[in-house]
Amino acid sequence: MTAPPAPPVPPVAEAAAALRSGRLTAAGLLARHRARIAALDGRIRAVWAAVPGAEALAAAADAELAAGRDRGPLHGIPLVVKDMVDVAGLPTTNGSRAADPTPAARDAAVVARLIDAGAVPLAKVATYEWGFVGPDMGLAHPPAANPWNPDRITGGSSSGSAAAVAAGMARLAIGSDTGGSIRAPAAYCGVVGVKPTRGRVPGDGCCALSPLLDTVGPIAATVAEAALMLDVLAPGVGSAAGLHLGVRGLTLGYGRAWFAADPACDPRVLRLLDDAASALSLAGARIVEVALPDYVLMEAAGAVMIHVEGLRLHLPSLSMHGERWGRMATQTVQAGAVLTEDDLARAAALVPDLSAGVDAALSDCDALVTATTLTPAPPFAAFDRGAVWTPMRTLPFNVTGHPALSVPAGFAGGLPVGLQIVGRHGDEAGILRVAAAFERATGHGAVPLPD
Amino acid sequence: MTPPEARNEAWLRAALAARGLTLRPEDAAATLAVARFLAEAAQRLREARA
Repeated sequence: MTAPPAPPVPPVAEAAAALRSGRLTAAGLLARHRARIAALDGRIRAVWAAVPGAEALAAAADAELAAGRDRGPLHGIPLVVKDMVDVAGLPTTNGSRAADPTPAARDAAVVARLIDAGAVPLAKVATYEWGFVGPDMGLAHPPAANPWNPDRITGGSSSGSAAAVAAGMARLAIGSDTGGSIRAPAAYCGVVGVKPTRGRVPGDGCCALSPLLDTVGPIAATVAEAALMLDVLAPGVGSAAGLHLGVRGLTLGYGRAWFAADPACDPRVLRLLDDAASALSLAGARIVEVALPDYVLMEAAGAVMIHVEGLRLHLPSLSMHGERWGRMATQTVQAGAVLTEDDLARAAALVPDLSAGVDAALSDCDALVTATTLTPAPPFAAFDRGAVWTPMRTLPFNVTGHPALSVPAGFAGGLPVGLQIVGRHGDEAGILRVAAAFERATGHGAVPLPD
Repeated sequence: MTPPEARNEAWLRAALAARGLTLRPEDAAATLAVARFLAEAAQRLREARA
């Protein structure tokens, strides 16, 4: 006898309409999420823990709608939470055996905002250890697998967030991004990931990796769903309202040379991104090639920040409980011992110039488009002998603080590729508008998984 | 300032010991590879500020 089918969970707008018409309850919607997880997660390994209060939140959402209280577009909508973000009543494992096992006393600020908007956190999902590096096979949980090909990595560190959304277990997920940890897994898994402007979304209750760079944001199946979630995480952004505006009349700077000249760039990725620029042009945007600041220098500044701050933050745990740490995270954090506080100060002193360089590229453009990653998701086998550098173009915008997102841009060898869109500080609405136009023009968003 | 000798395993081992950390033999090669990348990054920042 075969198990009953568990289809992907419905899009947020479809579920929201069904909740309000009485065709669906929040409790029933939550059960559909749980059924999808039960059917697929044995292979995907995205979900680490169920949130025990989810059923009560769903019941409360149903009772409120029945009583005429509507909290908005996310009322009754389930979502998953990266396990570096506190959910009251559950320990935040940060993917590490060395984490404090005490359950979180309160929700992280972003979780609280989503619950206040009626959303229902249903599960904690996978992360690379402390958000640093992976996939590490020696941890308490094996790493999440890419839903498009389980032999491939998801990228990280928001590995479970991207995998769960790509696998149709949820439409929405909370992720965090210090050097690309939202955008890279979103690109590798074929979903949308948004790193807001630094400081736009509160990080209280989220494990710090590098406070100079850390940013919390949404991962979602489509641009519209990411916008709905971002508008809750960062009230006042108002990104959902402008998604219909299109790109006609906009000027988009294509940072092509910034990634195409890198020998690590897969030619199939370059072709897809050239096609993406063409699609935006056909949709009415003016495309101009732009020069961006020296990538290697931006990466150097970001790497120094992450490793000095990472070692400073984790030294107590590593010195007291080092035997509980995984090997990849240990190697990465300990390597930071070659750096000094002077190196960090030097990196921080470069930020205004680097940021001004990106601002200059944006001075005649409404947004920039470039690569998220330079290859599709690598195979797990590539990591058999330890951490491997995976080429991408995400860290610079953590350094400068500009908002950036990744949106699906097609497939190379059956694996998703992402287009990165970067905007002026505070202009999340602008980059989501471009992403929505791109999604409409190409149909690359929310492509169903093969059976 | 990260000195040039930071690319050396003995130097890294001593720097870790000063912080109460131990470089496990099985992690030495991988840690040193990251450390060399970081030392080069620090050098690049110094040159950019010069």
